[in-house]
Amino acid sequence: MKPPPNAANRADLLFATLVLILSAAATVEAWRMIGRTTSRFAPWYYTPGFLPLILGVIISLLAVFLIVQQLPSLRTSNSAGYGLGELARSRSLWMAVLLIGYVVLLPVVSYVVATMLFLFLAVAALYPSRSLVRRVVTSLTVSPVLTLTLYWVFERVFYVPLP
Amino acid sequence: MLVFTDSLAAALQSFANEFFALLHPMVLLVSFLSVIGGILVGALPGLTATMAVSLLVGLTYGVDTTLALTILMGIYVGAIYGGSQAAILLNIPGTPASAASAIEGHRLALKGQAGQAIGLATLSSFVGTLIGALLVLLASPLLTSIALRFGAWEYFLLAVFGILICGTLAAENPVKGWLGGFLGLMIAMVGMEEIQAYHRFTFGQIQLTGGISLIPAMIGLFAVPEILGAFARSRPASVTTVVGSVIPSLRKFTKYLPVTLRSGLIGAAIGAIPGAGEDIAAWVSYANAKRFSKEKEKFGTGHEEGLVASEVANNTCIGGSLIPLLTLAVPGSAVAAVILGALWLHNVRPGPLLFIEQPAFFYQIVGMLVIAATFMLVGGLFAAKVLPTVLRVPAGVLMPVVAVLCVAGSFAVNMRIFDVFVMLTFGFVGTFLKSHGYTPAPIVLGLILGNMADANLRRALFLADGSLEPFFTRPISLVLILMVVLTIGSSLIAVWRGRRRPRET
Repeated sequence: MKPPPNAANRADLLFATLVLILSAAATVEAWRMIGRTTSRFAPWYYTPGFLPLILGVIISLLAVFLIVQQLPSLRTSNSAGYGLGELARSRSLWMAVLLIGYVVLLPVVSYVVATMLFLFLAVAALYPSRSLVRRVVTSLTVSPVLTLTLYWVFERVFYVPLP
Repeated sequence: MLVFTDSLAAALQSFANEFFALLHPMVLLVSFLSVIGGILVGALPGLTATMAVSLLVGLTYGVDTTLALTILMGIYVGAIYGGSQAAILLNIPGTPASAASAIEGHRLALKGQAGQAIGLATLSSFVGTLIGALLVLLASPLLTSIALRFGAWEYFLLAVFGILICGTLAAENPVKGWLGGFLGLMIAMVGMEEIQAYHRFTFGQIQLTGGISLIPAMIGLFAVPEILGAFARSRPASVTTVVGSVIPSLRKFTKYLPVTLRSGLIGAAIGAIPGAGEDIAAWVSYANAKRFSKEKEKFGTGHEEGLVASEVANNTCIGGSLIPLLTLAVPGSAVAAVILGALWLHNVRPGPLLFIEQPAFFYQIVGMLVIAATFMLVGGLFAAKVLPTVLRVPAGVLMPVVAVLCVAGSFAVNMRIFDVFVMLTFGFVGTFLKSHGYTPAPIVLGLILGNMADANLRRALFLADGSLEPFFTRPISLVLILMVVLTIGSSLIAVWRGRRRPRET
C-alpha cells in the first residue's frame, strides 16, 4: 500500500529530519568517545568512536540532501492527506496490533497458549469471508491444528527452543 | 593455459569427490523437501526467498551445518524458481525475481500454453542454476587469489563500495539506498567493539552489549513488511489450470541455447555485485535478449525467448551471489546476505582463507546447488499440476503462520525474548521504510559489513601512522577508490537529471 505523493513527501521529510537529529546526537557521542579513549597507545584514529563519527557526518549530510530534495515537491503538491482512518481500517493494521499483542503475551503465558490465541484472533479477523460464523469456525479449526503442528516441527524436527 | 587446465581439472576432481560424499540419503531427502518447500514459498505471492531463508536460519540453528546449509540452498534455489509458476499462472510474480517472467509467461498461459511455459521456465531455471554452480567453481579460485592480496585498506574500501553499489541498485533513489546502508553500518556499531572492548551506544543496557542480533533484525526487515503488506495486495479470484504437457522439448532448448548462455553470464555477473540480486539480473537479461533477438516484435506477446532469458538469469544469479560471499565475505544478494549470517552462526568464516583452509566445504556448497537444481527440475515439473490448488491459500491464514515462524526464528538464535522485540522493531521500521522507497537490502548489508569496515579502517590507519597515503598507493585500493567515486558520481548525476526531468504521470 503506497501512500499518496503528498503524504509520502511529508513522511520522507519527517523521517529525514528524525535521522538528522539522531545522527547529530550519534556524532556528538562519537566525538566524546574519541576524547575518552584516546591515549599514547591508541591515537584518535584508532579509537572506537572514529568510524561512528565519520558515519554520523555522512548520514547527516545524506539526510540534509534528502530534506533539500523533498522540499520543492512538498510545496507544489496538493493537500490530499494520507488519512489515518484508511490505515486504521486496513487489515494490515489489525495484523500489526495482533503481532504486538502476541509478542507481549509470550513471556506471560506459555508458547502454545499465546500462539493458539494469536492464530485464532488473526485468522478470525483476516480470513477472507463475510460470514462471521464461517470465520470463527475456520479459526477454531485452524488455530489448534497449526499451533500443534508448528510446536511439533520446532520441538521434534528442528530442536528449536521455544519462548 | 596448461596451468589453467590443470587447476580446472583439479577443481573438478575435488568437486566430484565432495559431490559424491554429499549423496547421503538424509542429505538428499532434506534437499528434496527444502526445494519443494522453496517452490511453494516462491509460488505463493507475498512469501519471498529472502523471507524464507531468514526464517530458516534461526530455525536450523540446532541442525548440523551441512544439513542446515542444504536446507537453505534448497529453499533458495526452489523459491527463486517457484516465483515463475505464480508469474505464469497468476500474472503475479511469486518473488520479485520473476517479475520479468510474468510478461511473457502469463501471456503464454493465456494462449493455452501454460504447461509448455512452466516446462520451459523449469528447464531454464535448472540450466541457469547449473551455469551458476559452474561459474562458482571457475571464478572463486581466481577471486580468492586476488583477495589474498587484500589488506586492511582494501577490506575497508570493499565494505564502502558494497554499501554504495547496493544502495544505488536496490533503491529507486540512490541517496535513500546509501542512507539505508550507512544507517545499517551505524546500527552495527552498537555493542562491544572488538579492538578495545569498548561499549558503544549501549546506554548501559546489558542486552545491547553483544550488539543488535543480525538474524532477528533480518527477519524483521525482510519478513514483517511482507506479512503486513500481504493484506494490501489484491489477488485474483481464480487460478488458471495447467493445460498440456509440462515436459520441455529438446528442440526448444537447443533453439534458445545462445540466449541461455548469454543470460547465464549476465545473471552471474549481476549476482556477484553486492545488492543487485535476482530481480535486476532477470530484467537486465530480458532487456538484453530483446535487444539482440531476431523476433523483437514478439516480446510482450508471450514469447518463449524472453521467458528463457529471465529465468536463466535469475537462477544463475544464485551462483553469482555466492562467489563474493565465499571468497570475500561480501554477499552478492539479499538472500546471500542472510546465508552469510547463517554461516557465521555455524562458525564458518567465509573469505579468501575458506578456499585454502576448508576447500571441502567450498565444494560442498557447489554440490548442494547441483543437487537442489536437480530436485528443482523434477519437483518443479510435478508441482506444476498441484500448485494452482495450493495458490488458493488465503493470506489471512498464511501470514499469521509466517508471523509465528518469525517469532520462533528470532527467539531460537539466542533464546532471548529481547531478540523478538528487536525483530518486531526492525519489522515496523522496515515496513515504514519500504512504503517510502527504502529497501532493506542496504541496511542489512551495512549491519553485516559494520565490523569489517570498523576494524579494517582503524587497523589501516594504525599501520600507516594515521596516513591516508596507502589508500592511494596500493593498486587494488586505488581501483576500489575509483569505483567508489564512479558510483557516487554517476548516481548523483542520475539523481540530478531525474529532478530536472518533467514528471510522468
